[in-house]
Amino acid sequence: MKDKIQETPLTETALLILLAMYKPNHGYGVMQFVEEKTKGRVVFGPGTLYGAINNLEKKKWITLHAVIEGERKKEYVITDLGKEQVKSELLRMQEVYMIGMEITKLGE
Amino acid sequence: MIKKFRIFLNPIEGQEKWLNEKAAEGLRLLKVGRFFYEFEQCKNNQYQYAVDYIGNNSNAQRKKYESFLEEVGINYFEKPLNIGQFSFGKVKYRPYANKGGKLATSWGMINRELLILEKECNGKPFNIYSNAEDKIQALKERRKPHIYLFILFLLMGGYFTFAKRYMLDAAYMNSQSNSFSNSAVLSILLGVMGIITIVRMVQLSLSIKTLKEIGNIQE
Repeated sequence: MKDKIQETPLTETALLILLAMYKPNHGYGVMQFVEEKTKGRVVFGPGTLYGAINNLEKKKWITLHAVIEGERKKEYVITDLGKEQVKSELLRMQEVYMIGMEITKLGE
Repeated sequence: MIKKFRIFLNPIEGQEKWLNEKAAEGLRLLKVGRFFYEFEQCKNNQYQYAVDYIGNNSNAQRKKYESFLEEVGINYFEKPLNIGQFSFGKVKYRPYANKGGKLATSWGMINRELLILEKECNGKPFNIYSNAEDKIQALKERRKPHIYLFILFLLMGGYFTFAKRYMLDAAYMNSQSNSFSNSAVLSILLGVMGIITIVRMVQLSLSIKTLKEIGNIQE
């Protein structure tokens, strides 16, 4: 498997899921986290969330943490590799943000 | 309980629209058959619906997806879609499916090509796929059986042209009028099915193109 940091920008979907999984979280929890944090701007469709969780697990950016008995809910948690990915993405976003502020002079 | 009969030319968007219209009138889906829908009364706009195509999946993939839907509190109904499948007894062969989904068995993927998803209405549209990339991928999955059917029709057309040219004499000797009407009916039937397939294939391709253009700018 690829253990290197991915250079291309992450999708908003992937980044938000990774952030929601800094604490162990299941699918429904991720949906609630994202809706709450973005104040309803981002609402994940079930197909999108399902596909993204599978892909992130395949890339080993998240890993299965526990299966809650009874409810059959799968909890995932972010891996060290996933955290590295988030950090590099935030730095990239900061760079773009700084360029944007400099050009548009929004901060002044 | 209210029972309704309905066939859709467009089983995804058409069915989705119809179910949401019913939900707006205060009808909640109870049971789905091949052509029949059973509803019960509920509040107007209490539920909303979306239709997903899962016909290219393997049985294990379907079960995994369904248990995920349960996890996030979405109800689902399995519904058959009859499109370009060969039946050999209880096993269907789908050459266009993804790995593991090519052979469908009656206790697995047969008659479970569509999933109707139901959730409580929150006033926002119910999208199964919420970014451009996933929407494109879903349309591509739907296009696969159409491409396969198109190729099949081309091959069949070629076969009949060939057969006509070389077996014409034999056919005329047997029963001239009968064999002509049979082949005419068959040609018309194949023609109509072929045209529907091509139209759907082009529609799906155009939708994919539009989404790709949007997807280059926004997620």
